[in-house]
Amino acid sequence: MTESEYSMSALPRSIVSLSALADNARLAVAAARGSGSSVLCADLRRDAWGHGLKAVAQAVAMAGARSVIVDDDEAVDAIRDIELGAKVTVDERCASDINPAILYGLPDNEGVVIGTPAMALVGRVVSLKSIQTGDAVSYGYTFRAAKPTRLALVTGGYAQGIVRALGNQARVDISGQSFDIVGRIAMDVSVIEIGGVDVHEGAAVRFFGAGTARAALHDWQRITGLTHAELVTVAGLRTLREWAA
Amino acid sequence: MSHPVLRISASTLARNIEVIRSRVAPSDLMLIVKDDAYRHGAGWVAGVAKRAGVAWIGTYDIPTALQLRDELGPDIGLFAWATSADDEISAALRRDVDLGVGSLEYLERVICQAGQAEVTARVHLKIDTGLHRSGIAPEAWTHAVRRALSAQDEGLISLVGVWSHLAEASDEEDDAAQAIFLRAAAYARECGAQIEHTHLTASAATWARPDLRGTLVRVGAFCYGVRSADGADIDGVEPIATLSACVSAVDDDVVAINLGSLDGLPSTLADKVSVGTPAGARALVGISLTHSTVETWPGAHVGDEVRIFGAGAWAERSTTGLAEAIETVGEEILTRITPHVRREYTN
Repeated sequence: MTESEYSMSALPRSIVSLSALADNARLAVAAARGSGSSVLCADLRRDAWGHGLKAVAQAVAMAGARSVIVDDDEAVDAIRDIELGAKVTVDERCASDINPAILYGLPDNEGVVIGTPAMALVGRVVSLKSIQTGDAVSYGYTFRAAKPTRLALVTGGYAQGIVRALGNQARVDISGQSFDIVGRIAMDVSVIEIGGVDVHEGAAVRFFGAGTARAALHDWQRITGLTHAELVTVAGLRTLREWAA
Repeated sequence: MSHPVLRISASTLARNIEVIRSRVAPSDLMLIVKDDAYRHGAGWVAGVAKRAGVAWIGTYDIPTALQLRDELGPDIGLFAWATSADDEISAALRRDVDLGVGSLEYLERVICQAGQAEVTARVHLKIDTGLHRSGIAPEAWTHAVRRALSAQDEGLISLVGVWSHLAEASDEEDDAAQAIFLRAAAYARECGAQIEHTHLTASAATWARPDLRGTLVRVGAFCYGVRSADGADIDGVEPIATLSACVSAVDDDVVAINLGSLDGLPSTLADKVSVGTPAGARALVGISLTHSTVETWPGAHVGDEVRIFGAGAWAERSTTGLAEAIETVGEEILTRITPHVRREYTN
């Protein structure tokens, strides 16, 4: 997503941590070396799986990668100015031997993140609301409250990669506490149940990659049947990217 | 063709708009262009719509409305309803963007920004008719209307609209929602508000439930030719976009195409749907990160086009036809598509 002079407050953020990328890149290159691989090639296709091509190229080059695979000549141009010391290849048939799960900090098949998640998908509490027993939430009224409770409306819906199938299934994090997504996820917003917890308008809501939602992508994979790779990439390409140290 | 392409037809969009406008008359169409017009491109779509005579565009977020004000000029109504930051509110008010307001907190901020910018905010107040997302609860409605009208007396806002979203869970529940909605609008008028606009329905209810339409109807999906999941085709309306990939390799049984799950094609579609080829429908066999495989056909060549979704000329499915195989909606198929897929506009 492009830079804007405005807050872009309606859009969730994909916050990419440069230190996590640097640490993960070292871990991933060491793991490739350790398994006897000498190609040391990183998969940076599709804007480095939605994490930002230039930043990831820099991180893997610093960590000793010998080559990177990118999408096309435009991507080759985009990283031309970086002191890579690595060979840049345009993908046809990918032969990367640096494990992207380690590089990007994605859960492994057991749901464990070996390094640190490089991306956190973060929405914001827009408004708060109390509801009564029997009140329903969102399209199709797929959630009905079993007792009086409170809801928070959150930026982020399926157009930003928060998959529609996650409604009534997944959980999010606010300040270290975990909350259920309730009702159907809409195109741009979701609703979470906060009950009696003191949550404020504007609070950061972590969908994955931080807090109790650190390994939530693994739940997303189980719920949706989609892969970690496509879940993180589409979210990264469909949200406003911000950088963290 | 190194990139897959979303090919979008202006004449189909204009025709869909015309069909929907004549269907909903005397209600007026507000064309919804949220999320970059469901990935078709908000600026391009709004331009086609304005030339087709559409009087209202709904953007959801304010930055898109500001972009469209620049591109389309002053002679079109713009409506943004995302609860937004103060800098966005201020810019919207200076550029004649109507705001949808769904909480007392947001109403206060709009009033405050109008005072600072020394302009009158045009406000459409949202009543919560059961969805429990944005929207003022019925028990708080009288307070909200009175607050809005006191700000109107000071010249800070103009309460011009009452609106809501329907759940579309059942006709009965939508009827109950409409009853709340009509009472809310009636109350605002009794208090002296000059309500120019009422709007309650989106695509499906707009089409099927004339009795629920207000002065405006908010339609996105149907204008783009996206029918409801498990819903019938819409008479006279066709998909405006075709997603095309390109054959990059030909093996004995399958061809590879240059579109994969990292481009937004859900990998769960593999083995569940067919796609369009020059020889007609063929099974989508596998979906990997940047490529997919499709059952081959006689004479398949590298460089051949494969249509993932479209209007069906090659027996390809619609977006909704794909979505139904994985229990979602056509809008999700469209909006997952990433910028790696280039857009091409025709006529």
